[in-house]
Amino acid sequence: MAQVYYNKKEGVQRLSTETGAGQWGSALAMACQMFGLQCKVYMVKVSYQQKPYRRILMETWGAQVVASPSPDTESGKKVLEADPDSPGSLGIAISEAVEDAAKREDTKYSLGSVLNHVLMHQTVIGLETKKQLDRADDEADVLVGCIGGGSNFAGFSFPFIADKLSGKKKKLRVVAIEPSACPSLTKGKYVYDFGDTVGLTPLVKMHTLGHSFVPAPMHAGGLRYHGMAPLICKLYDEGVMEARAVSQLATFEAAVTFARAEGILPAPEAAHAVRGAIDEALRCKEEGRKRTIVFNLCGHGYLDLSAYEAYMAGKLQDYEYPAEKVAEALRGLPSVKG
Amino acid sequence: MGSDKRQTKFLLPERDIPAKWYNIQADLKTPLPPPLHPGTHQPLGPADLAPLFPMELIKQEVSQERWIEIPDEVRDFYRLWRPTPRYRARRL
Repeated sequence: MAQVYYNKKEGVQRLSTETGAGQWGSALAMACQMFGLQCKVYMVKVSYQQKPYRRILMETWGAQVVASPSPDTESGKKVLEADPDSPGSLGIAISEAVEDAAKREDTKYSLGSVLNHVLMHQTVIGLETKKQLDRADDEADVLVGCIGGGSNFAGFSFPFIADKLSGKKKKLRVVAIEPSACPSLTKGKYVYDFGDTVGLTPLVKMHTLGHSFVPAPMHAGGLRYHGMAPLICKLYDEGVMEARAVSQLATFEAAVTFARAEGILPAPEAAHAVRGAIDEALRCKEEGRKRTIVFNLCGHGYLDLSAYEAYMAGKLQDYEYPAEKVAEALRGLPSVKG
Repeated sequence: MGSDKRQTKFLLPERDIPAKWYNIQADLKTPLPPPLHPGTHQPLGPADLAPLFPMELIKQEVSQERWIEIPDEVRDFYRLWRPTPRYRARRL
């Protein structure tokens, strides 16, 4: 909403963006519709194919959605030439959306995560959570969230991390959960890298798996970006927050357990937070300690039922991103002095 | 406060939708490493980002102000689905 508002104020008529599983694309499509802007969404191809109802939702809100890599941009054509069967990646989709905006006078670019202002807009989540806890005389001991580019995790945790940084709540633990198929924080290198695949975006210092990273198509859990918000990376590097990678099967197991207990079906991405929260609760049981664990359920899974179907049919496998692939992609890092 | 021990949902009224965003950059011990131009590898200026983003968002990107006012029009849209509820997962 916020990004569309400021674009509209400046007279922008059209926004381009990327989306993975489609939550961000849906949000931007709705906001553009409400503020009267056109919207073009480059959706990672494997998700475009696996989640048709997300595309239909975005189109219902008036957006134009294409599968990325697409023939609509030079970036997309370049990828298709090299690999016509590319499943796509967020890095590629970002390249396309940025190129689209750079080439048109009437269009600017809207990013779903990573950038400081995007994370800041999400802090309404954590600010509300703090009020809700205060009103009930509850206090968080552990915060848990899933992490892909960092926006929902930052939005949720930053208002609490403020108390940690000021010394008011030094013991608060803040835990980010990422997929073992896309382990930017736990296996990536903290260096300058492009935000996109082609090299059109600025270089930012972040934990990265390398801008050429493409997640395995079998990975159904989302959170598939090669990098991570620089603000999150700095806090992780300084030990203010922790990170853990979890496997796909364990994530869906947690999601089904949660759905059966609480009646809410989490999005595969949000299920990583559920896994992390359950693990923290089990740890409390083992240690015989009581802790208040608060996690952010950042999305529902009602448009991702095909992933649940695959899980329950035993078709999903665990995938741990191999160290050799990390090393290979990191060899392509831009060389930045200092 | 004495809340119901079986209370499951914790709801806030719309007037409690935040009026300002929190900018953690104001509270970092050291500043964030700057983003670099993809071609020159030099720190970016606002002019580099202007083709892609409106100036107000470029300013927010580098702001060191701890709180940034949420425009009324944006806050009004938040009323469609915010505040979101907190749930106690008693059955998990």
